[in-house]
Amino acid sequence: MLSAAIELFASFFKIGVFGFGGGFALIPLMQQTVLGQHWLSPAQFLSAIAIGQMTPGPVAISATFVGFHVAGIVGAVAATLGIFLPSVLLTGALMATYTYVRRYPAFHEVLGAVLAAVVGLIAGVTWRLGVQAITGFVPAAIALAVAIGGRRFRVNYGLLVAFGALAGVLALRP
Amino acid sequence: MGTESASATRPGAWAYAVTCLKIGTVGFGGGYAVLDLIRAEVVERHRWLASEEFDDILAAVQLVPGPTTVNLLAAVGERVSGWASLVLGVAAVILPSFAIVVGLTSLYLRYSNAPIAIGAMAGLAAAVIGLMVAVTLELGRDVRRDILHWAIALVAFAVVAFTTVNPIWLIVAAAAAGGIKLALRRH
Repeated sequence: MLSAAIELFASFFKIGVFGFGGGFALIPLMQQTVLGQHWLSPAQFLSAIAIGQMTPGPVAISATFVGFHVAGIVGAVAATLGIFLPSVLLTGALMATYTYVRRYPAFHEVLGAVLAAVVGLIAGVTWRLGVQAITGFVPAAIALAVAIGGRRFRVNYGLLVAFGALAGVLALRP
Repeated sequence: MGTESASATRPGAWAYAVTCLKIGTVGFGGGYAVLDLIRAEVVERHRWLASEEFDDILAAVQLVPGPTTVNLLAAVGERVSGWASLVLGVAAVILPSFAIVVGLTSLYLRYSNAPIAIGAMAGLAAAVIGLMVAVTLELGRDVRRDILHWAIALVAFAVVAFTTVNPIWLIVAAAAAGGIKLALRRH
């Protein structure tokens, strides 16, 4: 249990350090680790992201699901500390230095290139998980409605996720 | 830091944590909704920061990995009352979601074979894919329109979609490409 907790902490800490580009940028990195370690199946990973999206907090909280699944409440705490600790440490470091960092043009050049990679990564993981999740007309219609609602009409993400759950109960129940 | 701030009052770490707890409890949905909520609390309600100062910090935290809301609250906490507020604020904003996820995961592990749960999870999975499409398009707007940046995005897409290479390497490689491009331009 303890070794599992340490491994969860270390894995999610590494993900947190490289998660440039906001909360969703963590999803491709989490997917790689969580499926690679066989901590969750692809379907369970989608559930983890969905449950993360059903909370008031950032989607990174999906790490808590993974930790709980692997090693109970101790695992949940370890994974949560791991994913958020880099934010705390690096934001603290930024606040001490950012007046200098921000004026340094190399930083923007590098960050622009990283953002391009992040967009590609999120698109890639969407493709990979989409193949699993979009199994017919109804899931495709739900995904399309959510994409348009979120992008075009700026509907609250929490409401969109609730809509998905309701539509699933009504139309995708076995 | 922060002595030059325009604000008149400074919260203690606990007062800051209470505000973060509130944001972490009612901030359903993420994204813009939460950023607006944080601005309303920090700038309009409590007047801990001037609006321009808040925008400045919001721009700066994009330089740091991790969720924007968490980084923003960490940075605002550090600015208005130091490290204790940074740490307590982050813990407070995460706490409600942590409790919800632990509760939902317990339910999920117990009832994931019930037909209603299977239907709900299938609908949720489809909705998450839709959200990720929306996020990709949203972030894609900010990608610079040149061959280098589109090539990086395309390679990143292909690697994640069709191989099991660790995406961390792509982030490192993209950062190196950005650095090399800058070095070439200077010489």
